[in-house]
Amino acid sequence: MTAPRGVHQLIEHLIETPADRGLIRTSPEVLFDRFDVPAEVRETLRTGGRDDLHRLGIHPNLVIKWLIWSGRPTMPFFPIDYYFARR
Amino acid sequence: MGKIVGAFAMSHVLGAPGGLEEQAERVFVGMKELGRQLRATHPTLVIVITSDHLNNFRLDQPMPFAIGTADAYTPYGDMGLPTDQIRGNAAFSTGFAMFANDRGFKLAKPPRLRPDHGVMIPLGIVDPKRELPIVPLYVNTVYTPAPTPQESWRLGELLRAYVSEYCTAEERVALLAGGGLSHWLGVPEEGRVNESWDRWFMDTLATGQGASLAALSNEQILADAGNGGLEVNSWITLAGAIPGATGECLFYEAIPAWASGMAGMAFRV
Repeated sequence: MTAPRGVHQLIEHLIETPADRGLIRTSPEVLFDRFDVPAEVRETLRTGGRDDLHRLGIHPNLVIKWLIWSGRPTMPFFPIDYYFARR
Repeated sequence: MGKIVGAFAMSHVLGAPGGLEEQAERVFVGMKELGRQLRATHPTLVIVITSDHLNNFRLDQPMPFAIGTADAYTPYGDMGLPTDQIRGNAAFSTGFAMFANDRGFKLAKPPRLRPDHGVMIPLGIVDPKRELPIVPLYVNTVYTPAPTPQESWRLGELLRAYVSEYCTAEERVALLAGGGLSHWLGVPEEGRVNESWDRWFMDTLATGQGASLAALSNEQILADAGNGGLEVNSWITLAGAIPGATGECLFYEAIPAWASGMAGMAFRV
């Protein structure tokens, strides 16, 4: 299954440009417009969960990143120093 | 001739300890023990065999097998991991890439790499003081089609041959494979762990039968170990570099909350 137009390119842009990740929460339409994401999938991108995004055909690794940056991670955050401070 | 002095494999993630502190600690202690054993081999170079998570590679430019060719790397810093610079070994990397390509194995050399957690969690625990130079060797199972077990095994064979034929006697190479074991990530089955498959996979390696794993198909691995489980191809690459070596499981925990079978192994080389 192929991801909707522009979605993979959008997420790959955010991988390379961390400063733009905040737009997901503040102005997602700016990102959607920039990458010409189809109107019919925008609501799913804004509010959908893992399985909704999977159904759209988005690459699983990119699903995880999108949900983390959207504030809807599938697994809880933790400080890596919980471990790394005790190496 | 150079020598492979150590071979180790481990999962390349960690997760939130909340609610499973004892299990998380067993994983962490196991990882630290693996690191202690690796350092005890006194390597001069560590080859980290792993998959990137599309932090350095793009879907429209597939590089199923790739190698870092720099003399220094600045980590990507995902998961809040430290971004202190780590040393590389451009001479080894470029030499091995040429060696592999000359033998018909395409090993891409991306111009810019910032290793993500696939490299930096194993390395960060194995070498917390950033003392050892590394070569990141990517078996990028995020692509479809993914690197196959047969191809991965062949890469290991080539790595062994290169170390033996082209490295100097002073070069002591440790192998550190990262990834796996069974996990489903970013898909509806996320949270499933196939412990019986994980233990079968490790038993096969521990008893020196890694060559049989090269006969697996990615379809079989996908069905039994999930999309994240394809990362075991890094372990198969390692096995290809130490054919017949036996080993032992240093730790194993099935942790659905981390969506992963967490494991570490040490091999007798």
